[in-house]
Amino acid sequence: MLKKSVGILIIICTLLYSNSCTKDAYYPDVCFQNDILPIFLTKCATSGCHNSKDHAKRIDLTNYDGIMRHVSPHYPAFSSAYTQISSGEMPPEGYSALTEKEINLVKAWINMGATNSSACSAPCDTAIHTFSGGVQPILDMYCKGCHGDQVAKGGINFSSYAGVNSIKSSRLLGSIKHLTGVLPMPEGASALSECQINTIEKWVNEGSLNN
Amino acid sequence: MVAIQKKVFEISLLSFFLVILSFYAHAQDDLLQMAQEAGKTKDYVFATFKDTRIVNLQSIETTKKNSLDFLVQHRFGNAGVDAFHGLLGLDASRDIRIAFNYGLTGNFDINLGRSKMNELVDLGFKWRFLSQTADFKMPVSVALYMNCGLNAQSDASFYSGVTDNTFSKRFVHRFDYVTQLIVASKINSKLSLELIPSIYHRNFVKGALNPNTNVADENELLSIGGGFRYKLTKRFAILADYMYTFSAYRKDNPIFPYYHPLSVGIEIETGGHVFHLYLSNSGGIMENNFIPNSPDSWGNGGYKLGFSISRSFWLGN
Repeated sequence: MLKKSVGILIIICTLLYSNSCTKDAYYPDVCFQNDILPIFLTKCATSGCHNSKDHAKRIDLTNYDGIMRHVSPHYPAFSSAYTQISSGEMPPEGYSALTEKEINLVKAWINMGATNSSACSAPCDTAIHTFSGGVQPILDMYCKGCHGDQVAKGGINFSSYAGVNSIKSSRLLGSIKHLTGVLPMPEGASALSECQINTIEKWVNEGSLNN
Repeated sequence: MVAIQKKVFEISLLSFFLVILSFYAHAQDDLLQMAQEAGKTKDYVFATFKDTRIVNLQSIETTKKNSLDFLVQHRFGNAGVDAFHGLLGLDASRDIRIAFNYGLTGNFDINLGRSKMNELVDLGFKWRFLSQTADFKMPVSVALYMNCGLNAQSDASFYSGVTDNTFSKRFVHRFDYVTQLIVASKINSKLSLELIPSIYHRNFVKGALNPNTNVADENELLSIGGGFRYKLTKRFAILADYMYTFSAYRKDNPIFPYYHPLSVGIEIETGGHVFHLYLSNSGGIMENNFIPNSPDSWGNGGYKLGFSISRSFWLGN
């Protein structure tokens, strides 16, 4: 009796498990218009191949809609636009092959849902390294979830200048640069981009002003 | 077309699980039959391990029938880095987990826990469906461990770094799943060995690509773990485990360092209580935390002290 109920419990769990199971991703540095389309344009839509004029095998890879006919969002393994290039079948011999980095970028874009994204990653310019213009937006985006008015983990609150300035600058920089001796931040995620770290470092070097 | 492909993929995934399950059920029937045929002379091996975990990894043991275990697990900061000012990392605790384990049968328990790291709430079960016999006719015990984790952080924390405002946030993003097959063998009265193939699935991943290869973080992570327990005296044993995760994203990644979790510990048995004291380079206590994320290395002083205390409540007659 007990064995039976345990069995039923497991089957229910498995059904719940496979029904709530999904697959989604967000990679800030993958952008269709800036990163993905240029790959298809230079490597696949060359003269005589998959462009809107020649339509080799009736495939047109010069625009989003044309590419999406060969893409199954979130499932690179079911997307011929990815499987053809990852297996090396395309481009054919004699044409310049895709680099490993390009192939992986296409895979990441499909994993992410293959959206027609244009202005993706937050612009970062180390020339703008004032508190309000450069530093605060980065802290808002990456840190305030845990170090804000609502949560303030470790007693650290980045929602105002006073809160940021109360942290020793060596500790702030050490954390985001993943130096030993301080907790690497953001916790459990990849580090900030080099440009973002440089922006904060420049602001610190100029005296951590409230500007 | 695409929708059909996805449906086919999901159905095949589901049927794969069901086939495995029916195989398990069948295997157990066989075992039951064998046990009945042999009368009551069958001797099963007991106490392959003393606790439901080795150090980081699940052990083959389940909570005793009708027993409710209340568990408090601690993982401190980097002992080799904060040695003096942080008192061996004790000031900077990385993870604390409070959990309940309940033994439904002698071979099946359910677990519910909550961790500090990622505010993880985990609900899982462990089912030992094959037991090793003392005469080595069945040389191993095998168990299935599954859990479902919920990342309960605020939206701002969970989606930090998602710069695209049009990105659709869904509640299912917060779930992740651990599925492990635990194969253990008590070689002799002193030495027990264990091997754990494991699949970890996250519904949502985020983060920058590996700058060397452009490989993106994976939703599925395959790992293989191994561990042992060696009994030195009647009350004292040494433990160790290691989990290797196959991930192209985590390999040589300068912005997301990853060191496969290696843990060593001692086990002291004090009349009814089992006390574990150990060192590990992983910060997370649960699989849901230490498989995807383990940024500290033993070499840089990134080993952390940890211990667990438990109290059993007997709920049977």
